[in-house]
Amino acid sequence: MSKQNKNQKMAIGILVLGVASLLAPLTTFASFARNTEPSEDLLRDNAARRGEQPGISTDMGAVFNSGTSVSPVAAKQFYLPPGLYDLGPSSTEDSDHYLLVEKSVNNDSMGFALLIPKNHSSHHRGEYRSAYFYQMRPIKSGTAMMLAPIALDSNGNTKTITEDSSHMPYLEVSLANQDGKGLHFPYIIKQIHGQLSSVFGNQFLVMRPALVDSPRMLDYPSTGVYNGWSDTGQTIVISGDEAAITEGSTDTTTYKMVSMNSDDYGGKIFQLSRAEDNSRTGEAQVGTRVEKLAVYLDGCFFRHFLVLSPIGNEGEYMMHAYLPREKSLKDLFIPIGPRKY
Amino acid sequence: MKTLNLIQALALMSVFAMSGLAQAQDTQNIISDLTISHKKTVKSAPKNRIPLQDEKTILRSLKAQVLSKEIKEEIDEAAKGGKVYTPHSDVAYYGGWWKPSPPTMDGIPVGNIPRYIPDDFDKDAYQGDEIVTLIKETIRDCRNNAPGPRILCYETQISTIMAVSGEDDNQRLLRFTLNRAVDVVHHVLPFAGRNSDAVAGLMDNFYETMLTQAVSFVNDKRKLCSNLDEDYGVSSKENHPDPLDVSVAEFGRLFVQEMYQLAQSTNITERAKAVLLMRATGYLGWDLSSDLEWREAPIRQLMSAVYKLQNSDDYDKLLSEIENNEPKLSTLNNFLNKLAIIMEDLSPKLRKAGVPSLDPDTKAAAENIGTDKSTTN
Repeated sequence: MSKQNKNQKMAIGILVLGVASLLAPLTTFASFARNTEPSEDLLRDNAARRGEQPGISTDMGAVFNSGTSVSPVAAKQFYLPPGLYDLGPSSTEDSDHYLLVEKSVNNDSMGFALLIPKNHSSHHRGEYRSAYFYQMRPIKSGTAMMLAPIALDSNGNTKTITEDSSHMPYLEVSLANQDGKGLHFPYIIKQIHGQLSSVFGNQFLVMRPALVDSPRMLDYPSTGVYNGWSDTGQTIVISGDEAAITEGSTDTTTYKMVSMNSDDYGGKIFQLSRAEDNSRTGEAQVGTRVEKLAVYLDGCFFRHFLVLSPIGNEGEYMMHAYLPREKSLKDLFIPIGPRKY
Repeated sequence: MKTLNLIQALALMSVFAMSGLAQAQDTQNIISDLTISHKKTVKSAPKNRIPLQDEKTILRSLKAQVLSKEIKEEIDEAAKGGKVYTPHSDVAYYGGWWKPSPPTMDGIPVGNIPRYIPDDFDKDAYQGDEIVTLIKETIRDCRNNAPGPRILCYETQISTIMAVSGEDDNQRLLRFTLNRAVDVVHHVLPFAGRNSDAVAGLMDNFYETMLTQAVSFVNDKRKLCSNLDEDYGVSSKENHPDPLDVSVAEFGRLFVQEMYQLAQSTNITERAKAVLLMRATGYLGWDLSSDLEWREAPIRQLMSAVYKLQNSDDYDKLLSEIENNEPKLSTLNNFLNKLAIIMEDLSPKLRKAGVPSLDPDTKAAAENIGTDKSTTN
């Protein structure tokens, strides 16, 4: 009985060993097969060797996100620091315009800019030099800035014209290459949706920070009296928040100066609307329709007071630059005020 | 003796002191009286002052003004049965008849202008078309004020003008224009920003433009028509036998253009701009659904576009952003772009639906619209 049991146990042991010896190479082969699954590269190579073209699958994520991300060239966030810039048609010619850039008071990403010709005094009779005034806002995911022209509308309000339609002309400022380094003129300006004016004459302009720091915009000239004259024979007297402009000897118009949205423009741009005193009551009758814009500048040649009158194209202004008289009206008043001429 | 003198002196001093105190008290009383009377005058002076809404009420109204599915079902139901659809807007109140109680739907600006009964002098002096004289005098008189008080002057005079206009059917457009002008200004003011002088000027200009437009409507003998008119027909030919009719949708188009132009101003905040543009969609929705040609496919398409915009993520996102903060520029510009696309479609689609135009260029075309069968049906 015990011998039989012994034989049975041995038979079972041999069976187990046999099964194990059979299974071992199988599992080894399976694991080998799993490890040596042909890679995509191998398949592509094999297919290429056989002269076949493997199927190309679509990257669905890339398709549905197409156009949402910026190209690596322009991926850097663009910021135009406030200051004075030289602007010209190309890097080989002399730049003939200044762009004065100011930051918005409440919004770091926005700002405003004034484009003026460099040579104020080349202002001959019957000719004018155009000036432009822009609101700056980031576009293209912050990789460029839009300079949207500010114009006066038919209701006498100031507005940005770029929202009139989707194809209004504007300027786009961006870096000429990725980091703006290694270039004499690191910024490039494109005129989008047509030319803004024949003043530029070119579709592309180049720009660099100016070597000088003036002209620069000043705050409201509320202290003292300013008395100036322009090359075209106009004179201006500013006292308080009123500006009286005289053409010839008799025709004087008084304007009330109101600063344009000081939340954004920091009290540096003024809106001029007509103001007349009622000679019966002595009360001032102030118009609310904006007729001109004005900027107070410092530096350049002398102190300048620029009055911009809308002309021709929407957003284009005729520029009258006023130089202070040598004998200023301020001399009549005591105290004179903190400014020095 | 000396003691007596001293006592007399003391008594005299006390009398002087008392009288001095009394004088001082009198002065104080006078000052306080003046203050009180000053306060009284400040409170009572703008008798017809139209109360301003607070920011939250305005934002709530922007949410409530959207075209809803219920309204769409109502319109569809009315279209099937050929019934008159009663618009849920200020059209019912000011555009149509002078009804005693305003509709209660939240966000409709009908409660803005209180209906003051003007002095009998006003009522008798300016009857019918003479209201034009009243408006011209209003503009002249209000210009005498500084820009700030001029806003109040215009508002006071507007409520008088509307009361004088009363229930005159020929002056529906005038009342409609002025009521909306006040509504727009009251929507912008709380959000317009701290640049008080420029904002006041902007609002004055808007009132003046609107009053001038109201004058031109009365002068041109234009009459506002909506589907509240009981005798309106199914086709544009029946609806516009008179080329001087102004359909509500056409009025809405012009008004929204004015709002759009106001929103481009550099003198208001981005938040005020957002409120203006969102309010404009509300007006568009109401006006399209109240138009005489509301059955026509092009107007249905426009209504659908407005409905989509009002129920879009952009609308909700903008509304949530302006609740406490200035909106993001990208959100605002997205919304602006979508509204602008609808506005570009407005004119051609309204012409296609047979709505006469108010633009001077297309006046001749509008006069022929009744005879042109190809444009409708």
